[in-house]
Amino acid sequence: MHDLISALLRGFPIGCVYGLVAVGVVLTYKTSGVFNLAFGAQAFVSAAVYFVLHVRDGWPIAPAFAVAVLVVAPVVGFVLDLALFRHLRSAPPIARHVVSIGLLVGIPAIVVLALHFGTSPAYGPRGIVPGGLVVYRFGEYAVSRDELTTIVVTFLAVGLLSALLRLTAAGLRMRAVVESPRMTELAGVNANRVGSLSWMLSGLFAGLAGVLLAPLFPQVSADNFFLLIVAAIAAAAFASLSSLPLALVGGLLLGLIGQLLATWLPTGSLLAQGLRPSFPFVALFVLLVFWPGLRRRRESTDPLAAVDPPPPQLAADVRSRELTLLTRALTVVAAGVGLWWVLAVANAFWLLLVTQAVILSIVFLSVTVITGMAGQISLAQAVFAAIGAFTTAQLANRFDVPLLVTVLAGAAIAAIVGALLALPAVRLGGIHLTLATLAFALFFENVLVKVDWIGGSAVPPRVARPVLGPIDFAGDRSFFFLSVAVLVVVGSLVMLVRAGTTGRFLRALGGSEVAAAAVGINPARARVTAFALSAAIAGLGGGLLAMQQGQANYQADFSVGAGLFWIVIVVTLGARTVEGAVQGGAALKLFPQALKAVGLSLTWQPVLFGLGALTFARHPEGIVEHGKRTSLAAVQRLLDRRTRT
Amino acid sequence: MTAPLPGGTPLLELRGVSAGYGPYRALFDVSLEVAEASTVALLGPNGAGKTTVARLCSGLVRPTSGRVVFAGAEITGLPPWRIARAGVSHAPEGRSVFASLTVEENLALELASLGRRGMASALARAYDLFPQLSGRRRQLAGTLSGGEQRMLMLARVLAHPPRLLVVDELSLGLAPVVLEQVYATLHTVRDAGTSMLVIEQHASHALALADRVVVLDKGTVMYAGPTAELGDLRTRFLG
Repeated sequence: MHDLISALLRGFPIGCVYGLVAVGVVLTYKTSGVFNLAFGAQAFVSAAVYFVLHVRDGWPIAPAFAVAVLVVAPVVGFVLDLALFRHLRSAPPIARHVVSIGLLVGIPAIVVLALHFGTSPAYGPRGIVPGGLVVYRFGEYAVSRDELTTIVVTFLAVGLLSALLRLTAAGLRMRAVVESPRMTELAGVNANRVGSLSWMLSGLFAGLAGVLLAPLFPQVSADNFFLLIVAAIAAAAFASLSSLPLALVGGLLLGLIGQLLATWLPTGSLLAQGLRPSFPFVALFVLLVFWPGLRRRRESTDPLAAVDPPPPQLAADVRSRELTLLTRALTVVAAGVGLWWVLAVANAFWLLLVTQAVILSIVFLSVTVITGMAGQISLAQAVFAAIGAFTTAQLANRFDVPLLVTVLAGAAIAAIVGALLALPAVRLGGIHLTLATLAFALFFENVLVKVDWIGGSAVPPRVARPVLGPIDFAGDRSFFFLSVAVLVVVGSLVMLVRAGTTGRFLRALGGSEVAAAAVGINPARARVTAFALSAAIAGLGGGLLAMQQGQANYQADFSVGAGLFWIVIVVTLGARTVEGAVQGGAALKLFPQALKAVGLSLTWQPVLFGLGALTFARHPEGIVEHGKRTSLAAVQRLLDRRTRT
Repeated sequence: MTAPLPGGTPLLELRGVSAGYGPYRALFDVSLEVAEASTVALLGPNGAGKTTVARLCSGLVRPTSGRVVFAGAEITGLPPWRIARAGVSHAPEGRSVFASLTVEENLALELASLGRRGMASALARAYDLFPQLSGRRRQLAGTLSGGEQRMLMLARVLAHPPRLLVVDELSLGLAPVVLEQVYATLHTVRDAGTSMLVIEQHASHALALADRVVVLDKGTVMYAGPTAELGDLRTRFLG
């Protein structure tokens, strides 16, 4: 009994923190229509500013709190709206989610650069009340002052916010703008101003959450805030993304259950090691798939969406014949020059980089399939690649299977896992599918990678290079050719699928799921196919990457963070075309070299890619596709002028 | 409420307006006017550009060339909320209600500028107009039937008649009985001094209400003049 009560007492403040962030996520969703994955990053900004002012520079609590929470946090929200989300208010939800993932990657990097945080996290955050560590004792039970503050502020904030949203005219306008900015404007309301207000409010809330959460961790680092938000998302799912008080209840339940598991599961058992750290992810996945509140939920659509012009066709589909021939000729020439350069000029270092870029292009083609064709965002692509890599390593090391066979086996197993993951999740679609893949990816990272027969021991398993009959691919040059050949095959496959029945089904589903179902397309089947194909491609690429590196290194190549990064790169550059994937691979590997050449720190890479989201907000088709369209139009004008004269 | 316009100035005027969606053109050099305290019926076959004209009036679509003038002031390119505050109310086609808000919240959003007392009387007017809605004040608008959603949308614009009312495809999805009732209301609103631009497929209802008629086809004006002189165009386009 004593254990139970003290577990509950310990779980309560943690639950409040989960609840606070969950309320913030639901608040942003309700007032701006964005499932803001970057909410944790916004919280991190205020936590970092507060830490720098209060702990590092020795400001008193009140001014530090005022600057970090009352000034910086709403300003961040305001800027995000002004620069990004305002332009996406009528855009499809997928565009908004990509931008929020871009921010999740970009914001912490900006903070680290702007506040001179250095690369290591800052230690010793403090709370917002003096003497936060003072402990009050009630008999055998103890609560610290920081924890009490968290509890009180959480309940106050949730109460005030609920009242604001339900009872005031401003709250009504915020909810209206989310559903249809245009209809709100027809009622004489300035939707942009309401949107700014919404973002400032949710920014303020993120900042408040940030400074309250910081003392829970030994250091202020973005990773902690990211993991926290997963638990919070589970709580938000519990609230069906709509009720603020239920989000708080969900957070409390998660906190309490987590502490109960910690108390009751025997320490050291496999169950304790596996279940405890993974509990929030498992809870999120189960909630997403089974929670009836979410199942009933349909994202309400803007009745005036028809005012927007339809999405443009692919530039390649509408260009003239001469232009097609010209583009193809140029592509062949460029590929030829590239090959010549790699073989004749490049040294071993560059050969390595280019090979990696080629392999990553293959992995990125999996994003082309799932995001470009099926219109879904999967955050588990890195996991599928890892499955390919681990399968390759384990089969080759344990059973002496030839490497080329193991790579294909890796692709097949990735496809099966992808299909199994998709089966319960495709029905959800949209943001819920994205979150389910994120939950799976984090589960894989925190639990499965550590299993002996999957990720191996602490040392990454070694992988050799394959041999095909008389050809040995051990040399870097021959392996480069193998990679290029695989890229060509997979790229052609993707183009064939896009032009074929599956591609057409998926495009129809993107246009209207109801209409597609009415002509006999099975949405679930088409999506599961896309998922499996995408996972297979990622698995194949992952296997190749492992062979190229000589090891299946999860932390270096396949982490969830890497997966987020991949999605952002591919979608900003262009998720609908094969070129987009290839340019993504090139950008990821060659961009750091360019930064090095200019003399900038590598921290700039996520910043710049995060900011790439800015351009994406204006060209949701992708930067490459947009550039292609404009340049093709220019060349076409030139051609037309010549034929006329 | 507002100062009368100098004699002869139309309340709303489109001057040589072209517009479209992305690469697709919908209107070519369209000019039309709505005089103060008059009603214009805008007719034409499918795809003629009627809805685009309505969207131009409320600012949802910006013209690529030409000008839109309301009450003597240029409103070309202004955001919809400014135009709405200037006195243009646009009832879009289809089920244009906020599905996630309750019936009363849908109405309150439109009537917020009236103050508490003004809102109360406007709400009473709305429920008077469509008694079916008054029993459903706390119901989410998305759960109403199609016809009820149309009623709610009309209640929103009719509860507090603006200077100019733009109604798009009014008869769509309304039961005949309700339609008669809605047109009776429109007659009252017109007689109280509100100008109207009425877009309709059911030409007979609209023509009974209107003083003038404009016929659009393929994005250009085919005919503009008094209702009485429509002649054989009526049979050609409007059945």
